[in-house]
Amino acid sequence: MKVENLWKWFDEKPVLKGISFEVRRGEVKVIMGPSGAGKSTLLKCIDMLVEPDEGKIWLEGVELTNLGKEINQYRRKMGFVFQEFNLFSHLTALDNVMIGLRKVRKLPKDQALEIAEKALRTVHIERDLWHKYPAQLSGGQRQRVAIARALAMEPVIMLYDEPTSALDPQLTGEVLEVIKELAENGMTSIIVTHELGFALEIADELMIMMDGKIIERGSPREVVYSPESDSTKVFFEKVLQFGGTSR
Amino acid sequence: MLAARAIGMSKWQSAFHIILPQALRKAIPQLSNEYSIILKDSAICFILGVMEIMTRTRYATIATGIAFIPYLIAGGLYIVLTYAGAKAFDLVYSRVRMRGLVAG
Repeated sequence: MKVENLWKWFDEKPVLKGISFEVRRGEVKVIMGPSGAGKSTLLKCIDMLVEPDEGKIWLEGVELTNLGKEINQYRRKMGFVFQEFNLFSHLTALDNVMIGLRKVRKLPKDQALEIAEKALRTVHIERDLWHKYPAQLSGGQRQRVAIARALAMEPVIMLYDEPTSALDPQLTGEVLEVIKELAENGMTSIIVTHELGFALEIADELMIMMDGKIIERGSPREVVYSPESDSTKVFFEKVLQFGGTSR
Repeated sequence: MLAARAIGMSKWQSAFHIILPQALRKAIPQLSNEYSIILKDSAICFILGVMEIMTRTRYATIATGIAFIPYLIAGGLYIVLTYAGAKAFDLVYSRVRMRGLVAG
């Protein structure tokens, strides 16, 4: 994936100011930064859920910003996991995962079922939970179902927008574990997170965003322990002071 | 809506498969309230229902010379109609409600 000079304004206020980066297949990029830096907006622009005002995005050589209505087909190739899970509350866990397979990929029921079951098992959601509704599941379970829903579409890249920020600390681990397994099995991933320990563990590259710009990037250890910019230093001082998450 | 589009649904698909089913399920209890009001107030229901019931009640009053009992019966009829209608909505709602979303 290639992102080139992305700009986005909301009501004349610039939220993204010329963001550029590349992601190679199998790479894991982690983006961190203070609230309001534009990280969520960046991910949503990449998935074309929000249209960027300037700049271009390519996925596997296809320019997404130039697609128009066909973007729906390409969105299937990008799995998006939201901070607030955004499961479909009127459907069971299994149906949540299957609906994309049936309505978007237009697969027959038995094939959709097979793929959905496999996706749910990948995120360690077992059969006894498949017919429960989201409101009957814990936060960690809901988020894992959301990951399964994205995985079922067989994306080439996964985009995680603060996947554990809405979870209690004890449920965070199970979701991070799933993300880590997927990454270790080669899933190209861009993760916006506040979990510093997690970033240090799995990121190939860590990017720090502040005020709409990427102010620092490099290997996680370099960025955290020997940052070049003063703003990054201050950011991590605060993070490390409170024991490892930048929440 | 965002989640539906994120898995590749078009806006139309998102509205039809995701937004509408949820919206309808949430609206049913309110529709049940509306039914009771419409029964009394809407023109058709009024003509077929209220006027008819009230006309018959008046005839009964004139015919029998007793005022109280026919009106009592009319009142009873209203209660039955409203109750039956509300119960029917409850039944539909219990079938389609999103389990766990509200207590019970």
